[in-house]
Amino acid sequence: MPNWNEIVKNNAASVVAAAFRILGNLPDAEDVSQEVFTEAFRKWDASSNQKWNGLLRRIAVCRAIDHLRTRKTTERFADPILDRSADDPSQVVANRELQEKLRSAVSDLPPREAQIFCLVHFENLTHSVIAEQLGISHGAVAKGLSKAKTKLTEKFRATQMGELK
Amino acid sequence: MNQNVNEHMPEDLSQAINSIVAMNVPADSIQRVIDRSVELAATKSSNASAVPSPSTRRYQYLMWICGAIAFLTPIVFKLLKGRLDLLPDWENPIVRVFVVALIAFSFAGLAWSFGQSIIGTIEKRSASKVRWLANVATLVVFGLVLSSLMAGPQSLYAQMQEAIAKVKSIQYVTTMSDAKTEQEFSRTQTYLQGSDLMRVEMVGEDDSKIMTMIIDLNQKKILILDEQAKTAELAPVYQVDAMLKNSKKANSFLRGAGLDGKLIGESTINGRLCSDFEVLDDGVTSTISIDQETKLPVQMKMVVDDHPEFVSVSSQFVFDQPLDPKLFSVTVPEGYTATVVERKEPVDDSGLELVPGESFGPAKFGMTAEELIEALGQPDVISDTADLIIFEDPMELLNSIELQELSYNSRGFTLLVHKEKGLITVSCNGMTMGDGVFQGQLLGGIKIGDSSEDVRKVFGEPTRKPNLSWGESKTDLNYKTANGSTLRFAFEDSKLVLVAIRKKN
Repeated sequence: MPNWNEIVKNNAASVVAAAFRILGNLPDAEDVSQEVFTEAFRKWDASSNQKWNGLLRRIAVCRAIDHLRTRKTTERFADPILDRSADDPSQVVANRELQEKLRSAVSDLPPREAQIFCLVHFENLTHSVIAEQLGISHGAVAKGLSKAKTKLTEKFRATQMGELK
Repeated sequence: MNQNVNEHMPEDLSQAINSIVAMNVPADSIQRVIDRSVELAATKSSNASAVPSPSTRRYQYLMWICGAIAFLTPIVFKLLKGRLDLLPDWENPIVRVFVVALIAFSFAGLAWSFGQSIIGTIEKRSASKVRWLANVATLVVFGLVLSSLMAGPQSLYAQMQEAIAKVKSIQYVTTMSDAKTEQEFSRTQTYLQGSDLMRVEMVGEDDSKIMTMIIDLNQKKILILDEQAKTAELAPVYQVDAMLKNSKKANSFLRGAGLDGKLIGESTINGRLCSDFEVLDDGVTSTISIDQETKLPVQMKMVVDDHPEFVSVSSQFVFDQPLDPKLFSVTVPEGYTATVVERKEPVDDSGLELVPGESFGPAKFGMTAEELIEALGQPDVISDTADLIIFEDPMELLNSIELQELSYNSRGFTLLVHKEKGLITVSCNGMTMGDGVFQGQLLGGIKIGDSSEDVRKVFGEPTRKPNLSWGESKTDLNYKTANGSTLRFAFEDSKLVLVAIRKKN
């Protein structure tokens, strides 16, 4: 049986990061991470051969999306100092708006498509790993990802068109 | 970030993804999550009670279900039928093992769960209030179930037996009737006081007394009154302990007591709702109707399986009503001609050997009454009517007026003498209405008190099956010897209580 403390220490960073990327604020990410470890703990002694990293990240993504869908708007924005995507403060603000736009769009996706999208683009997991984690076929992962990207692309293009008008 | 996955997406979407992926989580945030999750393990993993594993949880659920079944079953029966007697018979060993296992299993689960909660509390770990409440509630429930089980038998029949054992006095009437026409042949009124006083009155059609028998085990006397001839016979009782034992078992009046009763339905007798139990005992089927409220018998019907045309009904039970001590007086009433049988000192009969069809100590089969008295001594009672219904068709014996009975009650044997054929039957008793125990032995060393195995070792397998309608018992062993004599061995509590031998006619 694996040591629970080791499991937590080895995976906490990736779990919090996965939740943080989807939710965009730390308090929510920490809460969701706590839920993830609580849920995982129940499966702990019965799952000695579990691939904990993939499982925990998958749970983190699922719970974060659930959390995201329950909040109508982003209540708290990401801390600007945590955004390393740009040095220019105006770019940071622009990126933050884009992030929230994407989060909002993801929350409107069907859960399974949202999960696949996040696991591919945020967690950089392969289709095979996602298929195994979600208990679906490789083709279903590709199909779900395609649908998600199409819907998100349409949403972003529609926004662009609206801004141009 | 793998740029390939962002191909064919709008630039701002790709930018949003890239900026999200570039987000960093501060180390203190990660550390907080680690600290809380490790604490979770410290709280719960070392104490499996808080978050049991799935297998433990299944085991726990199973135990709770078992406990619920054990507790709810009697309640459901109680609600549905208003009685507990529909429960499986507690006396049945299979039922007993099942219920005990069920309760033991449930108690083990309860103890385990309770223990974990206590340990959790001592170590200041989490033991939720709900869990505590559930444990306390279960403890109370099991306490109630256990106390109800320990309180006494659950079936109404068993409750009746228990109630009968506490009763101090009983009166009832027994009638013998034609099962079809209900024509009454005989009626007796019985009074019982404690386990040592008994009075039985045989009543005629016009309610006049025909015969009365009174037994007082304190005075070790039995008084028989012929109410019409106005004669009385007062005789000693030799085996008080045996009679007391029988009386305490209440078998003398309630044949069903001590046996298993099977619920067969309900009936209303004299406005009282009764449960009817069937009791099978040695070729006799008894139906006992028990008052659901008082748990006492209201009526008892008895039918001998081989003679379903007759039915004996005991009814009009009266319990614990004070009885006049005069009812049990063994003083010969005025106006009666008394025959008093004096208590005799014990006689050493250990040397008496009974050889079937040939001899009985110094006496020989075929001897006259006078010769027998000379050989064996004066009997306690000489009777010109044969009560000795121990052999063959009793009607045949009763019809014979050529018989004389020499009763050596104090010595535990009785001789039946034919006026022409002489001694034809010897009966050696272990327990007959308080008579003494026969101290001698049968050819082969068989003695009163031996087992049926002992008899079989000497005489082998019986040559005739018992005839229940002749008053024989299923456990009887019947033999015909080489010289044509017939032997009957009767047992009670697996011990030989009667040896009867009849010489070939």
